[in-house]
Amino acid sequence: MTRRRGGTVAARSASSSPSPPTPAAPTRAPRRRAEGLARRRSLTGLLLISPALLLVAVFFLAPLGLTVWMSFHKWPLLGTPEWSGFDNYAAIPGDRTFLDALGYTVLYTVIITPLLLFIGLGLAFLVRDQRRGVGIFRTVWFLPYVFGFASSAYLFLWLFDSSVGFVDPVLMDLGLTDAPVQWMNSADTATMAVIVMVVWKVVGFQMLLLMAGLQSVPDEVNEAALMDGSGRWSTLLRITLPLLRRHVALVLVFSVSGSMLAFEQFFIMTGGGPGNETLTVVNWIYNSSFANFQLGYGSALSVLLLVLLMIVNGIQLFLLRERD
Amino acid sequence: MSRSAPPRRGARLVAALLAVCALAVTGCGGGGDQGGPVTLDLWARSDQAGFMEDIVDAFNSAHDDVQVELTLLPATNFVQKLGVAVASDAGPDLASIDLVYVPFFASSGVLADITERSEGLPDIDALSAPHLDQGTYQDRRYALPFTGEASLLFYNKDLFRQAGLDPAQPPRDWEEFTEAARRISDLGEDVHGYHFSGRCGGCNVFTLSPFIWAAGGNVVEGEAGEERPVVGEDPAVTRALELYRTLWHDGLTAPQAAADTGAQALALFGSGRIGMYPTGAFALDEIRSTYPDVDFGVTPIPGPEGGSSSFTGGDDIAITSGSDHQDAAWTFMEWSVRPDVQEMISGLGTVPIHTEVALGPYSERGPEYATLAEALVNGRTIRSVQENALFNAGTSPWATMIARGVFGESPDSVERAVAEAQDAMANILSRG
Repeated sequence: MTRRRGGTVAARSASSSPSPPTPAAPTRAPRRRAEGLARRRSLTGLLLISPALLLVAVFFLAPLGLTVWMSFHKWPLLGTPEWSGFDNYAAIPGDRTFLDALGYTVLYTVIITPLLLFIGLGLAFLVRDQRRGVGIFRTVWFLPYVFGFASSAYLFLWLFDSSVGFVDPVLMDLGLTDAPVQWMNSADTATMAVIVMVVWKVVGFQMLLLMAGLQSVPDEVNEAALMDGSGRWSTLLRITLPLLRRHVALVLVFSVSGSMLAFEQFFIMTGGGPGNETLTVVNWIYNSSFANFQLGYGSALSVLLLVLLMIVNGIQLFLLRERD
Repeated sequence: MSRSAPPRRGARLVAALLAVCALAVTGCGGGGDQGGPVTLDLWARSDQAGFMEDIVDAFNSAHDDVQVELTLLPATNFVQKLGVAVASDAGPDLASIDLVYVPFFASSGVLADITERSEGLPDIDALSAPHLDQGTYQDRRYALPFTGEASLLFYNKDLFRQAGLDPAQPPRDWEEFTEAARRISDLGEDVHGYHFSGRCGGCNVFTLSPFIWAAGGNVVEGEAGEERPVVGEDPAVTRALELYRTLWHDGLTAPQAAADTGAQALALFGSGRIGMYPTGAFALDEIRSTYPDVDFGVTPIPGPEGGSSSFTGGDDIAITSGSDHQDAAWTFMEWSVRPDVQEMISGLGTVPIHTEVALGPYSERGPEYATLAEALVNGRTIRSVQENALFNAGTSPWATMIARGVFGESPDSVERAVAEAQDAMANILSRG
């Protein structure tokens, strides 16, 4: 997951960075020489990016191709794979566990995405301006993001534990609950626990992205709006947020992709339980492949998930595109 | 079915080193054919460390030409590790495999065919039948019985006495069983009549299936490879789940049951606040050594109107088809099923898979051992090439059926849960 995210960042920053200044065409020089220079330059360029291309080919394209190839086979962990055409894909609509997992994953995404966006935006406003001590807050809120997802999940699993955890005594002291809650016994409370963990863990990163966006909005624009008699809220809604469009799009793509691919937090905290009610799509792909040993079927599910993600992100980027 | 004897630190280090060796080249050191002794690699699960080390030591001191090196792998992903290693030709010579997974390995062609070799075994008919069945796939034999387990109902005699029940008369049918759970639960708020690990597929294969079998039902039918799920059709499954549902919703079961993945059960019973709890031979020794104050007895898992059943568990042992030392490996297998060896093993927390030993010297050690031996000999097991996917995995239809059927709020939970499990199991088997 991290690798994919990293890839997106790199791709975006590469495309948004200004293209290197093209040398002014020599007015009198013969065309042929200019062409030769251009060709040499593009050859040099190709050579320079070839290590990156190689890495992409080996670590992204090859596994992707293999996954697609495997999805057309009955591919047991042991024994020889057999070509099975579209059988794996045809089995998906009859797989209730997968459909339930997809429904749950979408629900989880729909809940957590706005939460992350609004909390992230709120924090971004708080730490936008350079003033004394602001660095401490930026660091504190960002710090959980550098923890591993798995270790954070274990940490919160114990915090939410009904006998030794920290959450229950606090809730009971505040008078919100009378007895320790068995958080992982019901899908609702288990989902709440996971969401609390993920918000704590990821919101600092969203904050940082949105803060960079806020800082790129020139103060003059906001001042002009205020001078024209616009209130603070309407300045926020009509001036600042529209100018933040690209940053919001980035944050949404991150959190929608991350949530649709959610795995570790559920694998560790809920194990998909109770009764598979908190089973996510990737969790089910993992189980199909490495508990059921049906690697071909797991691959088919992965390919389907990839297509779904591409569609969802495509729609998001289309809706949030710059309209001028 | 989880055992938690912590392996010694040194042993763990050795095991880790061995695993690294085994992955790097097939077998460290053991050159084999150049005159010296042949060294065999034996892979087993880490939770068997206690008796596996003793077995291997006994074999090595009795043999000069063949030596066995034990590698312990984590129990939680033993099947994956062994599968991947064997598939990439880096597997061991011998593997001790939980018998529920043996049909999967046998059906995928990674175990050596020992049909002809085993015909020469003098007392093969005296070995545990469920273990032998698991090692047979399409009329060929791929594995032999190795170590045995059986599930029983453990009960706390002190709580029986306090509740006015006769500790010499444990429940013989479901009515007596529920009544005992009710009377023990009435003893106090933190005392409960029953406990089971509600979020552990494997534990419930071991302990809930016997309730179903004792009610005349089954969960899958047919030969391994052609098996068919029957959980949604067999009324015995519904009856057993309704029994558990009553125990849970009437508050006769410890509240930890819904979330217990198998890690809490033994300690709960050891705390002396649980009346009855289904488990196996490994717990017998563990409770005695860890919780010596608990006065407990064991009894077969009862059926609804009498009768009883048990899950015959434990391990089979097999030679991998990629092993270069098939003859030497067979020497170990042949040795391991001998009555005197089985008698020695049985002192180490497992039930002997040699029925004459089980019903003879093992049973003479005490009434609990006799009950265990009886249960193993009369027990059954689950035959499926997809056992892990259908039953043991955390997301399996079986685990989901228990979570939704037993703990669900709606009164038709069981009915819906068994129907869903039937569909999900058929779906997994159809994908193959």
